[in-house]
Amino acid sequence: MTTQIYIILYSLIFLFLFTLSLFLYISIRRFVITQREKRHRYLRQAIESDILAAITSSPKNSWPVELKQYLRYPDIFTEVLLEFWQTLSGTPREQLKNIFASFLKEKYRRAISSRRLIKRVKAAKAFVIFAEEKDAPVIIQLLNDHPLVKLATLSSLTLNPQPKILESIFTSFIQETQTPLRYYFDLFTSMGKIIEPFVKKILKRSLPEEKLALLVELIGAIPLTSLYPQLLRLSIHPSKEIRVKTARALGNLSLPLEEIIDTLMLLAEDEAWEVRAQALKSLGKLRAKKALTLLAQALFSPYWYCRLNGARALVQFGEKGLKTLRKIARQKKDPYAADMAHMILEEIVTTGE
Amino acid sequence: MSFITTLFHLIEWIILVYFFALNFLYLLFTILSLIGLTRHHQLSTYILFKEMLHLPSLKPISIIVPAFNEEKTIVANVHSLLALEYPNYEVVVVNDGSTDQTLKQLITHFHLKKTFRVFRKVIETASIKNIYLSPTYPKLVVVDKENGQKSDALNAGLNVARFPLFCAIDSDSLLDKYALLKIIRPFLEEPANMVAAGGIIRLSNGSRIEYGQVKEVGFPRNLLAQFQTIEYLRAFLGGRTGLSMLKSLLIISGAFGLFRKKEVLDIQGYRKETVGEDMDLVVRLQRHLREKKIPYQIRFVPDPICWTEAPEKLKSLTRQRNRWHRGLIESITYNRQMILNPRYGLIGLFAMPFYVIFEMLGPFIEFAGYLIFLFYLFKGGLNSQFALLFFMVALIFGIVISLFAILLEEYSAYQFPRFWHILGLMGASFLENFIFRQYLTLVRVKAFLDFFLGKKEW
Repeated sequence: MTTQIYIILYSLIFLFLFTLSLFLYISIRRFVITQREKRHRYLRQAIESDILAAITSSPKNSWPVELKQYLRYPDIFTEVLLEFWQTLSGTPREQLKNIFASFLKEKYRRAISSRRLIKRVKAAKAFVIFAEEKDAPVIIQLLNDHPLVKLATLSSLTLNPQPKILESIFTSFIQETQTPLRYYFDLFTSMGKIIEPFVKKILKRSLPEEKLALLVELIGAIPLTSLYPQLLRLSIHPSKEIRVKTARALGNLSLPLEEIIDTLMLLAEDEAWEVRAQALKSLGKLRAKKALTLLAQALFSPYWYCRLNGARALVQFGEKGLKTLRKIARQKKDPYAADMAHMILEEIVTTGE
Repeated sequence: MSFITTLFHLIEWIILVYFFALNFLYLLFTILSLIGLTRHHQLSTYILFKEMLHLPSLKPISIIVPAFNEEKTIVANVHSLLALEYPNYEVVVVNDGSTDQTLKQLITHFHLKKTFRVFRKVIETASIKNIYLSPTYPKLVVVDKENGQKSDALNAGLNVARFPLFCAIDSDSLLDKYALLKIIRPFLEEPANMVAAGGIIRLSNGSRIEYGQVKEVGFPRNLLAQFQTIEYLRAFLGGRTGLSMLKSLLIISGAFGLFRKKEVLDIQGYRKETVGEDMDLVVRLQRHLREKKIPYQIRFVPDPICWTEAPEKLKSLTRQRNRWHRGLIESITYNRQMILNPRYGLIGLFAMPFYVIFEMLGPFIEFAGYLIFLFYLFKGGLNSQFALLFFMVALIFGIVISLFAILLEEYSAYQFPRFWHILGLMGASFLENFIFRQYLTLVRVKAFLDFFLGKKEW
């Protein structure tokens, strides 16, 4: 009996001590976090007002000494700078860059060479956002680092595009095997038209399908209108995916040129229904009058998406398109075509879309 | 008599091995979860989810909400879904032949208009009566169909949904405002391979809810809800994060999961013959993708939150757990060819056997333990010292794992704001081991029998 009591007693004591230590740990952790947050808030306010005062009154490159005291809190200092950087634009942004360069840049440059991955990832974000043209070699170094550092660099470059290092970014894109390509897509989109010559140059190379598809999509998304001849050439690419993206990009360019419309009309008769559906949508976007009959015929396609895109494209033509839709909705020969026309007509009335 | 004694000895050994294996695995999951949560937290610091709102590569999402007799909550819940932070999404509410005022409430509050919407009927469903759109809320689509149970409603929603990703949620659940932005992250990181992602389900019992959003997290006063709170923390933060790290996730809760539509349509959506449609879908997806040798990922994401109300009455809890266990057995028996089959990799060799031994048969083994204990107690010959030691070790293991789950919660979300909430959770971790746990074991044993008797009801 005594042994049994001991077993129960020891088990309960263990449980009690374990629970108590866990509770104490959680309590102390919370206390520390709360205190840290309080301090953080207080410091944030102080840094915010000092930075605001600095960028509104100080001449460039001569910053008040008060800012120096915040070097002991680099994370909060950087956080405030990043936040201001996102809300401000124009000259104040340049001043923020200068503050960063004067007080924090060196620290982050060192962190970029740290052996700890997470330190490099964090440093990459701040460094790249406040980078200047002369920092291009460091950014290139970051782009050749661990995939996570590269990812952080690419996502920060989206916020602060660096035209000077475009060549390196495109080289990195061509050699890319690990980082998801969508990071490049976001980055290139944020850079806008300045990437046009680079895209033109690398389109001449032989690229894997996934990368080629991304560039085609990019041409439509920005849009890079002068690259439409390249798109026209890709309309006969053997890959269905590339032809679908080409059809979409041609529509997004919003260039109602004869040769574009002719290419789209050819794509609207492609062997793959996905290409046809996309081409129909683009023809609608371009309001290509000569495609009206083709769009009306699309409503009789056996493919749902072709019918849908054909009908939606007709709406783009205004009264003329609506008239065709009403006619198709009334006919009895093909109930599928009639249903689709009916639905699109109602959709316009109900949602105005 | 000697045969019975030998048999009982054998069962005792099975129980002992089972017990240590189970607790070892739970501890392993907890350690893996700790690593996984820390890594997730660190990675989240350099790409903030709010920054993702502006990314051009963010894919649109269709939220599918099956609703059956939800007149009391449907309007508030749809309002909360329409106010989510995400650039492009639609909310497809499927009224699954409700016999109350669900549809009427929706029509009145959202000014719905009957439309002539046509869609691709990829999956066969009970017939759709009408599709409604709202001029004031263009994101909202309401599908009114004949009753056909939840799987059928979800399939109808899949047919009508327009976007390449869909999120299935329960109509009585509430999504956190940023849940979609958080759950989309794995799809951005692995756009080519990511097929499905599950978020965390938290209990809203005791919390303050305003306009379909949890404004202040609270701790439930109801004891049953308290026990379930600790259970959910253990299951999601401990179990699913750990299983996800081992690439062995077999369940994405039906209350909140994001899927790529194409792959789900490839397997003909949700299976109608099951009451555990959520697990069934994930297991069949895993099976299909492995068989087709398509590279894929299915992940659990610990920060997108979906709030749901836990049953506070024993009757509804019993019904819910019975259904869950029957669903689990259905999924496992339907996909039994995956068990210990190397063709399915870790899923076949680890995840499926784990679910068979510890989830499906676990209640039987536990129940057998109680029976043997009672047998020896009444017959005599009980090694009381060993029995007590075993009981205390089991208790300590059970409580320690629950306490670790509280620690994981503290690391990952820090949701419970008051100290008494933590004390409450700790108390619940202790108390749930008496009666509640044994009761749920009985419920699951009964579910097992119900399954073989062909019970199909919800």
